[in-house]
Amino acid sequence: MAKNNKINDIIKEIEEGKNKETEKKASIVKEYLIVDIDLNYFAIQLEYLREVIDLSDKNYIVPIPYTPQYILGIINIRDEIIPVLSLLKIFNIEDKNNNYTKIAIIDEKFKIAFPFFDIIDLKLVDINNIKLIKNATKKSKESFLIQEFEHNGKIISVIDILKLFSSEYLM
Amino acid sequence: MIKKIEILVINIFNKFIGIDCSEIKRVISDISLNNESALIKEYEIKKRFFRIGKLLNIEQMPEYNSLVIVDSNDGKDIIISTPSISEIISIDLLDILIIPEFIRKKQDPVFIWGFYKNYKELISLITFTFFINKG
Repeated sequence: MAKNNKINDIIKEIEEGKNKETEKKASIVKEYLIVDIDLNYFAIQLEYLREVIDLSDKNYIVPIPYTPQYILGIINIRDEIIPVLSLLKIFNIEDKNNNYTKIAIIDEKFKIAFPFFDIIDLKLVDINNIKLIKNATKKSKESFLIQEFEHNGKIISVIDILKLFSSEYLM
Repeated sequence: MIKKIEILVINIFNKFIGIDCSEIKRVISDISLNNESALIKEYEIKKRFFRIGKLLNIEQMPEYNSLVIVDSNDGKDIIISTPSISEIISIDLLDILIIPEFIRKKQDPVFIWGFYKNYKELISLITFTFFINKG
């Protein structure tokens, strides 16, 4: 009888172990580029990111007059003219300075670019660790920032690229 | 045969602006020497005088010393004051990088319609069609 119990315990332990393994395999990870824009930290899903370019004398933003404030201008990347947008202005966050050093090119329905200060990290994030932002609608008018995760003690807001592209800003 | 257009290039602190010469009736350089103040006054009264810096939203501008008279074909010409004219270049239409549709839709009025890469510099091509039709 006792022997049977021991075997049952072993079987249970194996099954539990297997379940844990399956759970591990079932977790989905997404890769994000984490960037700093004026001490605001944002994550861009790598799926939409085409490239990151250093702003320089060769790659610079040309302003376009008579456009909404969130359109900073255009940039010429290998003879392709790409609109440059201010994410802070779209997210209704005050931008105190514009010491941008890099620019990210995003490709969804068409290409857009947005400048930022620095790359913080490139990170694989388990989607189970991504949480909904409380009061997301209050934080961002159109709620393009509805999810967040923690990275090195900092809260990183995830940019909903699909929502951004279907918004009035990009129509 | 590829169609070519002539572009008048203005250098604003190394930001280059190009105006299609077919829109231009006349260029007057060295306005201080030629004392064109009466002409400017006349167009100011008619509200058909514009400074290029204001049109482009550029705060810091080099000294204005030229006038570009933009042809309206119906007597409603406008005058644009500009810094020195750099050069006139002839460009192939196919070499023009057209402004993305998204920007074109958001730009009101359409002012910059394309770009031309002249060596390392990107020239913004502008049109005054809106400002002529406005009056």
